[in-house]
Order: sequence, then C-alpha cells, then structure tokens
Amino acid sequence: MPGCFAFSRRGLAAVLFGIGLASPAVAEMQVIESNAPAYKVGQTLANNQVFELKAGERVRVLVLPGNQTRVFEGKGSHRLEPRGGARSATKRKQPE
Amino acid sequence: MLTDGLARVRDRLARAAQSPSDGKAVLFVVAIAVGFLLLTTLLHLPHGPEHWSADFRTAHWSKHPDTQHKRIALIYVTERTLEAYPYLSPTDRQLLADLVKAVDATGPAAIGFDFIIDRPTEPAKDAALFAALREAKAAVVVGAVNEDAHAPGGGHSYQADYLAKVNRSIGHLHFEGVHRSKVIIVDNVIRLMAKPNTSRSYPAAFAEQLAQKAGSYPKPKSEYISWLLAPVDKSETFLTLSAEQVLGRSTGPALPLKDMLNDRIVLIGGNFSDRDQHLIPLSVSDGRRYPGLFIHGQILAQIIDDRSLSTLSIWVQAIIYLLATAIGFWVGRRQTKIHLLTELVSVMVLVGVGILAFIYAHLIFPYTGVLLTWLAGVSAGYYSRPHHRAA
Repeated sequence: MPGCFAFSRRGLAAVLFGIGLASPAVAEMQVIESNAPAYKVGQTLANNQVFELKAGERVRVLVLPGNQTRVFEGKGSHRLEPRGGARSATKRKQPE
Repeated sequence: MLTDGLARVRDRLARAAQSPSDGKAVLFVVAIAVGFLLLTTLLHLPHGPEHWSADFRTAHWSKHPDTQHKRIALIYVTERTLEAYPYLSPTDRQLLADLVKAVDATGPAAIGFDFIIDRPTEPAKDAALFAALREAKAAVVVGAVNEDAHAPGGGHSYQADYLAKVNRSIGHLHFEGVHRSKVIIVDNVIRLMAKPNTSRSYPAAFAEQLAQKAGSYPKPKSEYISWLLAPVDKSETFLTLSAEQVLGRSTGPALPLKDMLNDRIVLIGGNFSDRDQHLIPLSVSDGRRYPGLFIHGQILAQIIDDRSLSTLSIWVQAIIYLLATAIGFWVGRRQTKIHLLTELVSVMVLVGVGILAFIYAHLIFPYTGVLLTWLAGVSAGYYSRPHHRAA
C-alpha cells in the first residue's frame, strides 16, 4: 500500500508537470501609446488585464509574443479576448 | 409687372391658408420638396452607380481577416512625435532621415515614404533626408503629387529636384473621389483608387509601386478599393507604430523592431489632425477620418492579397438596363395605380441584390442605373395603358 501511495504521488506530480508543459506561456502586453493616466507607456501588463478607460482615453498595446498592435479606446472596460473568443471589447453597463 | 406677380402669389397663398383642400395641396408640395432634398442628399445620383447604403454594405460585409496583416506595417509621425520641435510643418527633415535609417536597419521588404517634399527647409536637414532615402538598402518608393501643383507654369519644381536627387521609384499619392466640378454633388468619401491617368506626372500609384517592390501581383479588376475590416481577433488592421517608438525616443523597454518590421512593407507617413485625413466607407457609422497612409495601406493590402471588386462591363450593364425597362413596362401595364409600395419594394430588392452581389461575387451592382430604368419602365407601362390614352 505505501508503494501504491508513492506511485500515485509520483503520478500526480507527473500529471501536474504535464499540465504545466501543455499550458501556454502567459502572454503579455506592452503599452506603447497612451493618453490614459492609469496606463503609462512602457508598462508591461498581463494579457488578462482589464483596461478601465474614460471617454476620450485611448491605449495602444503591443501584444506579445505575436507582436500585434491593438487599440483600446472609449469609456468602459476593455480587455483582450479570452482564448478562442472573438467578441468585441466588453463595455461596462452604465447605471440608468 | 413684378409687383403684380408677387401680389398674385401672396393672394393665392392667403386663399390656400383659408381653404382646407388648398392647404393640403401646399403641404403636399412642401413635403415633396423636402423629400426631394433628402433624396438628393442620400442618393448622390450624379456621380455613382450605387445607392447611399453601399457604404453600410462595405463597412459591414467586406473581408474580416482573422488577424493583423502580416506583410504591412504603418509608422506615423504625429503631433506628439514633434512636441520637441519648433515647427510642425514641414515635418523636420532630420527626424525623417533618422526614421528612414531606423526602419532600413530592421531589414524591411520595402519602405514607402508618404511625405510630400515640395519646399526647402534647413539645408543640412534636407540633405540628410535625401541621403537617407538614396542610400537605404531596402527598396524605397517615394510619394509625390502632380508637378502641376508645384510648378503651374511648367517650370522645374523643388519636388522634381528632390526626386532626382533621391533617385528612387516614385508613386503618386492621389486618390479618386474628390471632384472639383461645381455641378456634381459629392460627399468627398474615398471609395476608388486613382484612375490610370497618362496626364499625371507620375503615372504609377504609390501602393502599386510598393507592391511591385515586394513581388509580382495582378492589377485589381476595378478602381473600387476592397477594404479590410478590423480583424476577428480585434487587433489593428495593420501593425501600427509611432515614429518616436521606432526612434527609441519613447519611454519603456525597447521594442523588438527587427522582429516586427523585418521583411514587411513599411509605410512611413503623417497622422496629423489638420491634414491628409479622409472619409472612407468605413467612416459611415461614426464619421471618423482616416490618414492617407492607412488608405495607401489598404490599397497595398488589396494588391498583395489579390483581392478585387469587379464591375460589370458596359454591355452587360446595357442588357440589365434593357431587361429592367422591359420588366418594369410589363409590371406598369398591369398596375391600376402607381403605388408607393412598388417603388419602396423595388428599392429594397435592388439594395438586397447589391448586398448579395457584393458578398458572394465581390461585384459592384449598378443600383442607380437599374432603379432609374426600372422606374421609367413602370411609368411608361402605366401611362401607356389604353384608358390613359383614351383619357
């Protein structure tokens, strides 16, 4: 039984290691243009960053590692799409 | 005479205001006049074969690429780039020289230089720019405008001197769509590439010249620009950087410029709020203006992606017009009244046909011509009915 337990611990470790290998590296974004005080040029952010912008604010980011540029602008909450998603940037519902 | 005439008109209007039936007639005439004015605003009949809704169609049913274009990059000089400089226009030539050198160092497939160099500035800076363009390792296309604009009397312009000194391929920077005629009502929306024009000083277009530097591509089938919409992954249509980022004058870590620009066609131009900003079909919803460089990027993308919008030949159009007239005549003969509904349905069907032709055949349907010939046929059929002739 102890051997069996040890095996399952090794198995668990292997599974976790495998999951770790299979997971994609966390992509990042670099702010390359911004007129929003909260986001400074040169700032590096995780790809799950939610941009809270006011009207007239605009942030251009370089999405790494693919080196694509993307712009977030206008009032509301904006973020990169979740993996596989293709919906437009979500806008926070304003109270009536 | 004139005062008598005015008095008569005044009397009639006064009577119309008192008589209910005449009042309705005046209202009807006013409504027709307002409707006609609205129609002329929306239709742009004189200069286009399409309905005003064509821009909505283009803005919604053009191609959505999956992601950002892989061959083209845009680099903008903006007001922010020039914050530290004493003047905005002309753009500082030393800055432009440094920018060309920085881009060239990344190994691009070609560089497109979209600045009109038509006046001398500071001699050393001018010379630096000319040298940077002339000595770049990458293929370079420099933009220019018609010589007539700068040397109206046929003399030698500064632009011509500059082009001779840099000794690079030249592409004209004109778009089609801005009509100078006082007769034609226009909306100044850029929908077409420049027509081939042998009278131009520089016959090849900027984007066309750039495409030739990057490979061999067929010419588009028509002058209509086939626009790319925003990619599905919501990235920008083209990789877009500011000049200060490329020059390393921006704060933050250095960008991997070599990875970003190597083997791309890099277009360098201005994005200033007071010049070279244009309405395009994609502006239809929000009225946003786009820099000329973006439009050149779109035309270039269309050429190297081998995308085109087709138009029907004049003979096919003539056959369609004849058919529309004949079927309209047949329908008109069978109508007991000319219904507004018939006209509305006709418009809706033709707009629908235009959208389907665009989506599935990448074809520009000659909406205006078909509608006019159809309505002419319906009217002719209706008024040629026997009871009308008897009356």
